[in-house]
Amino acid sequence: MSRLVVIGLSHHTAPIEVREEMAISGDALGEQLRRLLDVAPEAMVLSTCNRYELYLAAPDEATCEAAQAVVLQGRTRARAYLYRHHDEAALRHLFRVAASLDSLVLGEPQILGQVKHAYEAARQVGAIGPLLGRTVPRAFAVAKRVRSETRIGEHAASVASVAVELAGHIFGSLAGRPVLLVGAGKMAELAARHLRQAQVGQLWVVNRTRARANELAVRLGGTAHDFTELEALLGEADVVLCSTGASEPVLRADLLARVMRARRGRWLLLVDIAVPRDVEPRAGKLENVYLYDIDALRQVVEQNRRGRLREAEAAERIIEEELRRFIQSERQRELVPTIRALREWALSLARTEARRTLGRLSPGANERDRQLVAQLAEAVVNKLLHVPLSTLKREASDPGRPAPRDLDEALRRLFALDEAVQEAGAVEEAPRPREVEPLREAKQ
Amino acid sequence: MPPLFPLTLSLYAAACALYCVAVSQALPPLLYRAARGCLLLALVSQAADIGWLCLHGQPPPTDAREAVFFISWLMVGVYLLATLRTPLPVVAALLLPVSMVLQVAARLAPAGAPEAHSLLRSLHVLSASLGTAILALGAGGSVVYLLLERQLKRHHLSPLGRRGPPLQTLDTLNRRTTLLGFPVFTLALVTGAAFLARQLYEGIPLRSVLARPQYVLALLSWLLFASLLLGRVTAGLRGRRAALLTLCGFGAVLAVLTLYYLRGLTGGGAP
Repeated sequence: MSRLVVIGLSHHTAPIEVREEMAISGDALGEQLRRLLDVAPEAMVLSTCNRYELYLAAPDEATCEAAQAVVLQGRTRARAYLYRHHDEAALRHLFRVAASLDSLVLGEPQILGQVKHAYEAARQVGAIGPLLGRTVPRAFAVAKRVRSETRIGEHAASVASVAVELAGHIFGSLAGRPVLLVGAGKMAELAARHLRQAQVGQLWVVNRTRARANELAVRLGGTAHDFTELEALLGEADVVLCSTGASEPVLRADLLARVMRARRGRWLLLVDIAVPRDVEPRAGKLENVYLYDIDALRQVVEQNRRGRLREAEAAERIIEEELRRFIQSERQRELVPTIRALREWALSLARTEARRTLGRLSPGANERDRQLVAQLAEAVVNKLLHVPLSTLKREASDPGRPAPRDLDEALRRLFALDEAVQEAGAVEEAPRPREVEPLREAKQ
Repeated sequence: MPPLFPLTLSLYAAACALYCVAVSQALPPLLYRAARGCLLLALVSQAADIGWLCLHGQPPPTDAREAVFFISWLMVGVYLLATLRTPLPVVAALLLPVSMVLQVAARLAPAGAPEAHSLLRSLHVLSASLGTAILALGAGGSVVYLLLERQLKRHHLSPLGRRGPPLQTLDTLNRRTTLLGFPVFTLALVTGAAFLARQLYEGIPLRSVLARPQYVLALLSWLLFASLLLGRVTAGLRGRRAALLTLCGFGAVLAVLTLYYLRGLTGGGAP
């Protein structure tokens, strides 16, 4: 029987150079998954900028070693940073990763999409079987539960996304609101991208070097303007992102006071990511002007991060609860072939005895009597098996009790079910997630 | 005392508690609906009480006590109507205690001497009550605006700030309530003035009229709301200043209401 194993490295264990070395995507990922299928029955590779992880269904330790050799391909440096989890620990890790509890930015939403992408890539090459086909979708459900029952992803956790959050506190919807970028710095570009996702309206770029403004405007789908148009654009924009390399403030308080008069007091959010600052601090005192420099933004990020940490405790409790539930259902599942075989055996015995009894009945017995005898036999079997099977399922789901394999073995020996179990086991392999079925057949 | 008053007050208290929890932590949508449902039930229950009072000869224009009770009902009704599309639990958490205090104050006060029925008087009380209720919603929104604005300026958002409505939504609420409340309040002032003129004509000494500060306060509140409206239209007045002006205006309205209520306690009539 295969066990769930995860072999990997992440931002917790490995420096960026090693993570870069292990990163894989596109065709190379498909090729690696195909090579993994030569050594393991099921495999899924999760490769992001912060982690490389291989999820395996491994019958033994030799399979793990072989799979590790496939992914390392002689990269000896990475070996030192690898971690390996088995069974419950591997499952917990998967649930925590999908729920973004193991992410660099706690609660960030991208990781769930990345795990889904990894699952889809593995499914396409036929690397998802019964084990990963049950565990990974369960991880998606757990992640969704964590997101809906906690506020772990509620507040922005990066400087770029804080700008979007702040704009939301002032304007509500950002749809259609004009945004002005003063300077063409990387951070402002990142923040502008976040704003773009919030479906802001026009995006204007102003930079002392017109060529750089043009380049950035093209990348962001905005329009470039001359620096001389700054005051006019300030009068129109609702959100201004500043990131010039100027040593003196570009937006002085008197300029902004003039602008605010022209705006007739309309709210203005100024996000100043530049160091030295682009906006004169006094401007923050102007009415309906909200000025956030880099320190203020970090202050908000830190507040949010603390909030997320508090929510992470609730999320961990959900993970443990789901883990217990899943393990219980898995333990019960292990007994299904035996239970099925036992029921089949008992029913066939009852049917045989019913037929024999019916043979001894007077020839005058009609069809209804025959049906009644057959039903009686089946009812006796069901009644007899109900209590022991219910107890068995309960015992199997109780982690404090013997492992289901022991119960399974005892039942098979008591009722000599080996032959019947083999037949039922063949049937048991069949119920898998629908999308997985054709892939497994292709592999076979 | 109206028969459903204890039930009404309990429902208001339950709704208020739910809204307060909603302000301090994220609630599932079901609980928001429960809070709103509770509030709706309370509103219906209080409406039944007002109906009962009318049947027993104590309609809102009877005296200050019933007018105050009516205003407390209107405040909730106006809130529910105004927030059909945009729920503002934080405003509800502010308004409901005020409404409950008004209800209790109304029910604790002794019945005043019934005033002679007059259409002008009824129109005055009804328009003043409706105007007060509408402006109360604007004032509630203004308090929230000032709290959130202060947090945003100081770069420190409390849970209230994080879950509170955007500043622009609150300012829009302020603008709409002023636009709607001001004409109603003006009607109250005009009918009040007409009623007063009739009283003077009927021989009440001018000195006793001038001795009542509520007339000056009512005029002051009207002037404040008029200047707010004018500022909005002509100079783009909005945000913090608009919120402060609304609070000053509503403060004057509340003072007028308190004076009438106190006069009612001492047996004086209204207006």
